[in-house]
Amino acid sequence: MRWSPLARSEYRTVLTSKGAWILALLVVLWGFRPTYAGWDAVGRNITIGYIQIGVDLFLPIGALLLSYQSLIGERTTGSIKFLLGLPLTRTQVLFGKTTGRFVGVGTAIVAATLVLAGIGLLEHGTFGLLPFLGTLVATLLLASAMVAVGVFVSTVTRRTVTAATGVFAYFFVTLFWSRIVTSLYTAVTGIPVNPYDAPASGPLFLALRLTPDGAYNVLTNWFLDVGNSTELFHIVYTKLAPGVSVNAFVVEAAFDGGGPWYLHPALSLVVLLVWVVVPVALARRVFNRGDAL
Amino acid sequence: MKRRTFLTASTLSIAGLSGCVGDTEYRISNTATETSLDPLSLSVRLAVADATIEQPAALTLTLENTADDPIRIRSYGVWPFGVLALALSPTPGEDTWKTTLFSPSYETTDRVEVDRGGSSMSLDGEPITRPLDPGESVSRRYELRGDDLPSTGTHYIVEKFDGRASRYSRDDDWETLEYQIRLSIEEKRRLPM
Repeated sequence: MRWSPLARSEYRTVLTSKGAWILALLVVLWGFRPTYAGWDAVGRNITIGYIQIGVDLFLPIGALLLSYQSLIGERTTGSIKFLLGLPLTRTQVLFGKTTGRFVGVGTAIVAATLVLAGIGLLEHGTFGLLPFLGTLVATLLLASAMVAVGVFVSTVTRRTVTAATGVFAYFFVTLFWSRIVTSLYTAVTGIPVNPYDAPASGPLFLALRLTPDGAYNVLTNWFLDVGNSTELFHIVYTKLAPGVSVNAFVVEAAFDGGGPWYLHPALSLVVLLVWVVVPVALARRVFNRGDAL
Repeated sequence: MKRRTFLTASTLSIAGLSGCVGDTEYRISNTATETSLDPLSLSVRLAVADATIEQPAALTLTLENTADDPIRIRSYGVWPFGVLALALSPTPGEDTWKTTLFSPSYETTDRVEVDRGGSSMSLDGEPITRPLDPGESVSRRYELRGDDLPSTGTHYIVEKFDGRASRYSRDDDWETLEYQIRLSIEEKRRLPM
């Protein structure tokens, strides 16, 4: 592959930056959260829950910040002329950038995951290998989706400040996604949504899990076997405990039975893959057709 | 603020939060017992000192008849100690919060019903009266869940339900089974930071 040297260069850029290791540190420090509800929910697999907690909050914004300058940085410094002078097609440049950034972010996040696994192993003993491996794969998928979005933002914007604004806009939209979805649902259907007693609506629950972090939580909750929801695992467990009222959207609490087929947790894998493929495809289209300079 | 200063401050803030964002865990550092039960001997053994997310702390209470005659003991719910709790005072008022102590003996009877967290409990009003023969002892395990405990400090084991204290009798007079068990409880930290 002719673009592999470019990917290696991007990989080194990420891994020699402070940002990658600050991200890894934050994931570990925020993720390690021993709670009674967490232990009651999954026992020793709480170690895997630590990974979910840390990754859910910090990986999306961290991966975006580590990738949104990948092309816009080259544009603003003018080094993109050198890049386009290399014997690479624009598609190869884009793949090299995306792959390199992803491997860099992925390395930092795998390191954080292994540190959390080590701490969990020392504190609580052994945990399930299959749920751990599943969570690791889901984490890497989330990382690749966020890098894809970051590279896409970097491709379609002309100024660094615009790209940064786009990144933070994305972050805030996903942060308030459940409020946005419930407000839209109420506006369209006229049915008020009470998160303490959510309506058994398939489209509502489907919309809630369309963000990368929502799909990630659904997948990891599936691996942890706590319930079908975009919330963190210990909140899902608390919601499903008898006699407890929590403002969380959990499929088992809203539907009698498992809900419609399209709410199966495995389909969140497809959601994450779409978040990888579509931004890269759009970025390729824009980068190939537009004025790269 | 410079970018480097901001990053350092942010990282240190998160680092400072580590260990604080989890639930508080506890350790029973000391137990002390005072009794004036002449024909009876009461002792407490700390079976598990730590009340962590993985396990509750556990105490074993033992009551022994040191007299030459049998002694009758009357309790409510479970025999011979009844349903116990922790309080910040050895003589708590009616409105004082009491942290329920759980016992495997609750599971063996339908005279006590308790849900997780102790927020809902019911106790049968019919007392249980049994004799404790000379030289005989009886032990019961009581467990303290860390998520039920509101604070550190000195706590006392008291009856959960007012007016339902265990009593004993050598003849026809019933005396309250009076004792004071004091627990010193401190916070347990997982990380040395």
